[in-house]
Amino acid sequence: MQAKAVRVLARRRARPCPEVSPVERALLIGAPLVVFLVGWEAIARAQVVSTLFFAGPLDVVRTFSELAADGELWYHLRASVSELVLGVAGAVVVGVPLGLALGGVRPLEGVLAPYIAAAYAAPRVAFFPLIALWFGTGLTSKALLVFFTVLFPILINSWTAVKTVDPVLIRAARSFGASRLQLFTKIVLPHSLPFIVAGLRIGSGIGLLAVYVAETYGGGAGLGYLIVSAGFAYQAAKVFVGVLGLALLGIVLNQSLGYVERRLAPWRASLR
Amino acid sequence: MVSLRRPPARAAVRLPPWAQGWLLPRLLLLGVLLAAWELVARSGWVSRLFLVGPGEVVLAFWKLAGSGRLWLDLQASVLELGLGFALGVGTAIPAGLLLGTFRRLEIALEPYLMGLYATPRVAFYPMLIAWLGFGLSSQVALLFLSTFFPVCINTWSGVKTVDPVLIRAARSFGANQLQLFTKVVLPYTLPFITAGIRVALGRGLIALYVVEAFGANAGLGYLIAQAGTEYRVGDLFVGVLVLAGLGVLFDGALRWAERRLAPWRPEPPL
Repeated sequence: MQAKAVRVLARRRARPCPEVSPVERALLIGAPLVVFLVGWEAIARAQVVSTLFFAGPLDVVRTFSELAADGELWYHLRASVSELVLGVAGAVVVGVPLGLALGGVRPLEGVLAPYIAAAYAAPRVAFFPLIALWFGTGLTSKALLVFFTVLFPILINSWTAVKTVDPVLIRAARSFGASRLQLFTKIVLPHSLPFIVAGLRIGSGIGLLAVYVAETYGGGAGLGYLIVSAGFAYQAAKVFVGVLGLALLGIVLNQSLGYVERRLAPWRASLR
Repeated sequence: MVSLRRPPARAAVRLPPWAQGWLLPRLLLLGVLLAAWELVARSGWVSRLFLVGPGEVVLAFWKLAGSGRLWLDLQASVLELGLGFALGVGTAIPAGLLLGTFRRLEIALEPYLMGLYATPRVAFYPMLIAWLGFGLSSQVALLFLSTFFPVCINTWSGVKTVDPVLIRAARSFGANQLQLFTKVVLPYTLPFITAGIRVALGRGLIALYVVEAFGANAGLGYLIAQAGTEYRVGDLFVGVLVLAGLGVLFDGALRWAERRLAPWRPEPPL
């Protein structure tokens, strides 16, 4: 009896979630997906919504492979990704130093805080008509919108990072004779890294939104453009492929950055 | 937080209390920026098609407000945002609470919810229009989609991280399931909920702009997009500034509510 109790307890401790078996887990995750796909295909077949506006999963997969084969998918994907990467890179290059400066230089923070808060609360994508007016509808204006949109989460996260440095650490380092540069490189920077990655993760999600908004406004290339132009031409399957492409992009970015974030600071994995 | 600099030397001049804070420098900065803006606009360095000074923007605001157009757009925007936001948040809080409480539900839905959260939901808007037509229903539907996920996921996360010690303490005092929920889980989750609502507001405003700029005939987003295509830069600025003001107003209201509802929570820096 005792031996059996010990075995049961050992098994419970070993598994991460003792009350749900792996089989049940697979079923729980798989079932909604199967139901969803079957339901989706059924709605498409039954033509509940006109085929001009609706395509079933099989149709979507077929169109996806067609577009992948003839290169059109990669063309749009490349356009969207380049807008995103350029904008985010710019936002990091400007936002991280500025955010760190805001955290460390009290007068700067005091003067700029309300303006940054206001800019953060405003929907920055609404500035796109202005940006398009000034810079046209090519890659530049789109990357600029992404830059403008993503700048603030990254800036604010870097700023928060500096503000939350443990004062005890600073005092300890000072009492060991650390210079300001050493304080920065050995304490502030390592502490800030997870915050910056978290900001990057949030920023990439918001940046993808900006990419979509910019591309629907006018463009010629990109997944957002694909969605809207296919929509106008009643090519429902292409619309779905475009949305799927954006979804996959978003998921890949979110997951990979989330992974980096968890590796850097597992105790503060953020969800926003 | 401990400043990285040495402590400042004592100020030589004594200023009156209202001048001692950051108010004056902030106003000064604003004044300088406005003056620079007006100068650049007047100098003719940039064509009037692309830039007008703050004076002109005020004029355009006056005209739009006087003609009633601005109020029409403002009303439309607030209506759409209010409906979509209420729907999204109202369903997301119970959903998040359920997800946090029932493990099997969570296991089943987590990958799909996180996947949907990571996708730009405004990309669904053309599809929504195709199915629901242009008009309030597709607009509210997109706003619902945009605001649901942040609140649901944050609420869920809040429920999951309730300190088990608190639960066990409450249980040992004889709390039943309902009391456990209302006196331990709910207060603990409140800051997470409000944090999620603030994120949802940001996403909701973006979605608001998208639903109005594309196929609407009223609303601040419509005002902005139309002004853009017709090169009415003054009106464009007015629209953007009013929308930004709306965002600041709602965010401020949420932060006030957050302070009232969960005063024990440390004030977020932003």
